[in-house]
Amino acid sequence: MRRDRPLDRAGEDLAHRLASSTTRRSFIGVIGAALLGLTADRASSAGRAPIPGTERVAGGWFGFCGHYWTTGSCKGPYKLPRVDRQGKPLRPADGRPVDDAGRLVNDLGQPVDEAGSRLLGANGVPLPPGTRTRLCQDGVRRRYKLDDAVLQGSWYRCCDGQIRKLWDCCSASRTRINGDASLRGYCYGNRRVFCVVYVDTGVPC
Amino acid sequence: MVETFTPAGCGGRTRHILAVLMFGVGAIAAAAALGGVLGLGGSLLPSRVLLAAVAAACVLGALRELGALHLPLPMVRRQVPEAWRRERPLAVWSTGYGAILGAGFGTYQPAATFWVVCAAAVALGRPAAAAVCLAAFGLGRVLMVAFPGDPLRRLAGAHRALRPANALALLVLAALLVPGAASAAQPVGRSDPSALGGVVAFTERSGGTSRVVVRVAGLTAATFPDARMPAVSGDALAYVDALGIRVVLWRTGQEILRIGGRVDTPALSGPRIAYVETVGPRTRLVVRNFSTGTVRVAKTVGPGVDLGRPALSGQLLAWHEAAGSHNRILLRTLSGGRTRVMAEGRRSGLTVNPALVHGYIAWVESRAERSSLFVQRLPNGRIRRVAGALGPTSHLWNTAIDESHVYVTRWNLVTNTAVILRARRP
Repeated sequence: MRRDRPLDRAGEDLAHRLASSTTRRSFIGVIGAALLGLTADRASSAGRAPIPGTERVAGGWFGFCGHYWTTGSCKGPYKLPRVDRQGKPLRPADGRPVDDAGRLVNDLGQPVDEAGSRLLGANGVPLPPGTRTRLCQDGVRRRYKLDDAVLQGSWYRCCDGQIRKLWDCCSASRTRINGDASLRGYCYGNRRVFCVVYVDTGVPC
Repeated sequence: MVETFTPAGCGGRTRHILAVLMFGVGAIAAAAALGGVLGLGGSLLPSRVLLAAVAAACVLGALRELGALHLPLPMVRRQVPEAWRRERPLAVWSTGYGAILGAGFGTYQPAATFWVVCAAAVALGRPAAAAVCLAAFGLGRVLMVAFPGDPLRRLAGAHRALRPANALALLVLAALLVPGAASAAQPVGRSDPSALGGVVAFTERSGGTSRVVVRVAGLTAATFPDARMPAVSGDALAYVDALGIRVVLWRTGQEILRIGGRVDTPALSGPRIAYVETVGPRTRLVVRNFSTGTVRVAKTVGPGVDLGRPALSGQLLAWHEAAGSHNRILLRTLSGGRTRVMAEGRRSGLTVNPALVHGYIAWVESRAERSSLFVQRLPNGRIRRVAGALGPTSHLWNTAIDESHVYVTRWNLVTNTAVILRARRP
């Protein structure tokens, strides 16, 4: 083999450098560190759950049917941000009103069980009503200190046989709930999309 | 004031007639305008709450009429400006008086019924219908001045009988409204049109139930209970019921085909029926010839993809596919198998619900809160927009097209009420 080829000379130089700068112990240490870093990254990625509303679901949606962009869901008592027409939380499975703690409530806001009977405390006294606030206008303002958060533009899709209204919660913030730059979406004025909620209208489609 | 509307008070028979006519215009117009405004306001509010409020107003009004409840009514406690009759021209004062009385709250209101009617106009949630209802109140005002003699004095004399009767009527109305308030969240109205050859079919919903109605000019409508989503072609009608899809001769009700299973949204043309079938997690579009018995699967899609309501016309089959950031309307020639994309929407646009008739296709496109009905002459004619709706209140959905008109369902997403719009086909 001819020794004067450029590749041969480069390989020889590399070998010399490695030999002069790296001991066997330090070399094994480097390999070990690399392996540790790789497994740690994979462990931390597996442990970090995606922001609700950003994970891919059947049909090519993000988080839930009708949501075709990547902005996360507004935080509420459930992972799915289902709300009524005023923006207050509903149980996603059946649309029954819930309070901020996720408890079923009656028309007076009193916590009830599945049958509609008042929930009792440990002392047998019916539990008092908790708070039931709007995910966007109240929850986003309270949690993220965005005083201008409001529900603005919306769009419609057919989901589970009924028309679903998907609604942008908008504010002037340039950061969305995902933590990155917010998008215009269907917001207007100087606002951008902070998070998303939806209303199941019950209109058949 | 009313007693001045006489030939003696107006200065002659002709002027009397003119005064009554102009009074009538003012009264009916003001009442209708009030109804329109109330109905418009109601269209933005949840119907369930409004119906409950009307029922409560009926009960309160009835108690007031019976004297069991002292409830002051909002009103202007005075007569119409008497000086107008001396200082203004006849056209001005008579029309003005009519407008004040037609608006209802411009003078004394002895009965609560007017306010119950106003609450009902809000609950109706439809400006045009509410305007018509309140216009009847204005017409009543006109009749009080148009009738010879002094009808008001006669009515006043009968108030001992009238007030209890009024209370009873209000209580009956309250009883009728309570179930409506409980079920107002259910969709109501007319939707899912299908039309061909002068025959129009649609779904009619009320009180949590639905039925299919088939209408032809000059004939009594045929109805099919517990049914929805009709498709009509000549004498044949297909619809969805609890057992699947049923195809009948709509004039006689004779069944000619039954398709069981998880099937929906039929379309009919001649001996062919197309429908959507759910099999496990997948959905497929099926075309069946019920003369020959052949069954073909035109398209299969996975979970989360909406296939919608197909359309059939002769050898043409149209349907939509909507999922994620893509949606489109497809048109296939059944004999040749060739498929083309007629309309396509990306993330922000949605193109759905095609309808077909010989030589034309229609569909709905929505962007954000705006939805529009489009019609195109096949194969490559100009696309024309023929109707539109604006959210958050209104949204267009299912379509139909026949030889002369195009139809679309318009949903009020606040009251969950549907109406079918009809426009001339361009």
